[in-house]
Amino acid sequence: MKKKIFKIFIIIIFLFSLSGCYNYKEINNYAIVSGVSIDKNNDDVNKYKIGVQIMNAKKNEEDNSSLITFYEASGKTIYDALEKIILDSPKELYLGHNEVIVISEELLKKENPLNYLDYFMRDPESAKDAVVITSKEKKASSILKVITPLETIPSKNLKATLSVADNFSGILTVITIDEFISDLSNSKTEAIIPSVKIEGKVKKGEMMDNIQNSDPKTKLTFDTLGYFKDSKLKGYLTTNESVGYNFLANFPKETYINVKCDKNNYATLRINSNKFKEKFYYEGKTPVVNVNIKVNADLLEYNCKTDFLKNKNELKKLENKAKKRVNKLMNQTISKLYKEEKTDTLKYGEKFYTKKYKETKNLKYNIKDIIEKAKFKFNTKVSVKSTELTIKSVRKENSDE
Amino acid sequence: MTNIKNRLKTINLIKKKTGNAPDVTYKDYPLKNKTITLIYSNSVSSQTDINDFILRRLDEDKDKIKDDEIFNYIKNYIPNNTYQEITTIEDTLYYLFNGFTLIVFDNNDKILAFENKASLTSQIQRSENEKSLKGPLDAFTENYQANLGMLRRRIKTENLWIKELTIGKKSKTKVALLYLNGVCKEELINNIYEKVKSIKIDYVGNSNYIIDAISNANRAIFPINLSTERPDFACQMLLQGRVILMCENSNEVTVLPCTFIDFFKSPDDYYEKGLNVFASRMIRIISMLLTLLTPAIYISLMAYNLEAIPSGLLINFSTQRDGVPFSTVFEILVMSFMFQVLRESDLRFPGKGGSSISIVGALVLGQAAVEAGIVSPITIIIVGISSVASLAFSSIELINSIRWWQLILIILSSLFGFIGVMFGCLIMLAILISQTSCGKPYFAPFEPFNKNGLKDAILIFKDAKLHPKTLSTKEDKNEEKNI
Repeated sequence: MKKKIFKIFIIIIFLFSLSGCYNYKEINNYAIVSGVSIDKNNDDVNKYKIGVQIMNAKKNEEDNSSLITFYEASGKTIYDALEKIILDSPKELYLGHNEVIVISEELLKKENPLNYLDYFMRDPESAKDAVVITSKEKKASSILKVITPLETIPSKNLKATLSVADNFSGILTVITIDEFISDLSNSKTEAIIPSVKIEGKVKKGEMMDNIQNSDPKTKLTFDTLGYFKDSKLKGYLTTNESVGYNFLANFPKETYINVKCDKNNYATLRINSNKFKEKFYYEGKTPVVNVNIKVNADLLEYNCKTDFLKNKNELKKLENKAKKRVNKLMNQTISKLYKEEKTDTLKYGEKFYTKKYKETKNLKYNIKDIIEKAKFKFNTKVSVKSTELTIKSVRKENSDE
Repeated sequence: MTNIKNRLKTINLIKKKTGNAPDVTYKDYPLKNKTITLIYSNSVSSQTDINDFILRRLDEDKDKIKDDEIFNYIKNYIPNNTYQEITTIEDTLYYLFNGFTLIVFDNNDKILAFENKASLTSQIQRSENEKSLKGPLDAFTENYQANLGMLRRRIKTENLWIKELTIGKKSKTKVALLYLNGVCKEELINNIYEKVKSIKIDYVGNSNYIIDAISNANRAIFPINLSTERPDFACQMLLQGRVILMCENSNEVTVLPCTFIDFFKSPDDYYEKGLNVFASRMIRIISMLLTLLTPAIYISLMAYNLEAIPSGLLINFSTQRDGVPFSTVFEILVMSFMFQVLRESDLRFPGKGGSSISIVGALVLGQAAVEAGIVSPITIIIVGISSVASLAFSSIELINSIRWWQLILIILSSLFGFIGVMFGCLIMLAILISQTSCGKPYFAPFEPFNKNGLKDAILIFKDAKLHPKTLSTKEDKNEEKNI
């Protein structure tokens, strides 16, 4: 009997210590944070201005008021600012479902983000898959204040748009907070970050009226990728360079490319799947990056005159043009990032270190040497698998138009 | 072929073959200088028919019959449209339990059999507690002989042996242990027989009295005796080597030993395609898990692990919970309790009043409570899911025991979150596995693992239907070969 009581006693002690029952908190005591914005504050002591977007502010969706609430405070650290926000909010902040972290362009250009991002990695409750975005030209807090159509929670709208752009058009890249921090904290690599802009006036975007029009006056639109150098935001890629970056980083699941098929008209190819292989080796003393890409594409739109059944060469020509186009996109990216800016956002330096460690060591190269001396070779293969529903173009082959 | 010429020897042989069955009557009838013996089964043959058409006829014609013509006379003049001349002992036993009256003569190599089947069906009613979708509709009644007959009618082999006892100092209730000789382990039947015999009790209401008296304290809360009111299910169990405990004046029989998975079986399972049965058995198992776990998991999600809820759902939950003054645990406990109250009153309320209770219950508990802001709608859904899922079983004992474990898990989850739920489930599983029913492991065939037994556990294989014997454990099989 004594033994039994002892056993039960032990079990209860284990249960209490393992389960952490001090954590008991009802769901409605939390203010669920959907987005965090980080801005620079002009004060020297309270360096950062932190804003939070709270998504469970209102009860009814039919209600004519905004679903979200925005709080802002400044502090020495992020947590310091969050604590100050709690003074305003009747509920405790909960960052477990945080969707986006918007950091202002100004702050990224001046300071290494690692100076303030530690909280997001250290706090066990905050979401590690929140997406990092920079606000181009405007303040980060104004991004989170804009009320958006389609998705009622603006932060969700941002995250969803970004992942659609990543998966289906291949222009942008989703970077989560843990990827972002690990890229920055690795001394050998540099980070990239997608950027977002506000079209129209910020003040109007904060009103519910904004989404009551069929064409909202103020909109959030994504811009291209920003790249880092020496842990600070240096500049932005162009759209073409962003697409090329995604090809090289093997990110897009689905994307499209436009190819000229005669003097004035274009054809669009949708890329469904690609096989991607990188090789790293030394040719004498020059490091060589060899990228093999095999792309399967469908002909999505074709505005020239051809019957593909009769002229099988037309498809071959199209494939060749597409191949040249992909190569050109990648070359543009490389020349911008590696020749011009000399920033290793594609992590080639690190890959040379890990894959060709002995040779790199023998040649006594550091990352900068590799970036400077690297040669790039692209082998692209495009094959058009289908012309979709029709094998002819809508325009007659022999017409004069 | 066995010689049936000697009357006394034949009688002894039948007695031996049937295990001296108590429901078989041997009536010697002196005729002139000779004696004939009437053999019939009380349970399946009609005694009035035997009195009216055989015994009275013989009595009236006693003097007309000549000594050397007894056989022919009986064969020709007994008024019965179905008669058989039997020459083997196997046929004898078959006709005996088929409701025939056998007449055995001295020094004759033939036995005469006249049909006197009792009309058992007149008293038999439909099964109400265990609904039958496809199988036979008859159910056990309170008539002991009729119940025996219902089993005999389905299993006509002489190997259906019966051990009869009288239990209860005051009630003197007849209790029968039925088993298939050669299929059922002898050890098992002897064990149960000895235990039942040693019971000292005043009154036996139904078989549950006996189960309570012979089993030790049940730590698992789960029922260790499976009672059924369907004879076809009892027969399926008999063929698997189980023992059926039948009580006088009880419309249920008890299957011994029983395993946990038996509660998820229905006799109709064997009348359908194996694959379809697999689906419905899975649904029953999942319903049990739903009943046990939904409230507990809901509480641990809401109170401890918010990050596991998808964010879209989280906003809904959070806005719904807004303004509800009670904690989630309290809500769940109150709503579950109210459901149990509804169920109990629905069950106990006499006559047709049940429907009014459910209307009031649905309105008051469902809609009004949500609109008044006392409970959140999601709580109603959770309690609804777990309550409806608990009704997927026909065994009331199982439902009641699941209710306890549900409560234990709710309390554990409110104190310790997911770890508490896991802990509760582990303890439940440990207790379930260590439980035995009449010496047989309760969680068989999963633990101890038995490949053959699995054929009948979740998916019914054709094998299990055609050769139910193979479902017993390996050791049993070896013993069968020895018999």
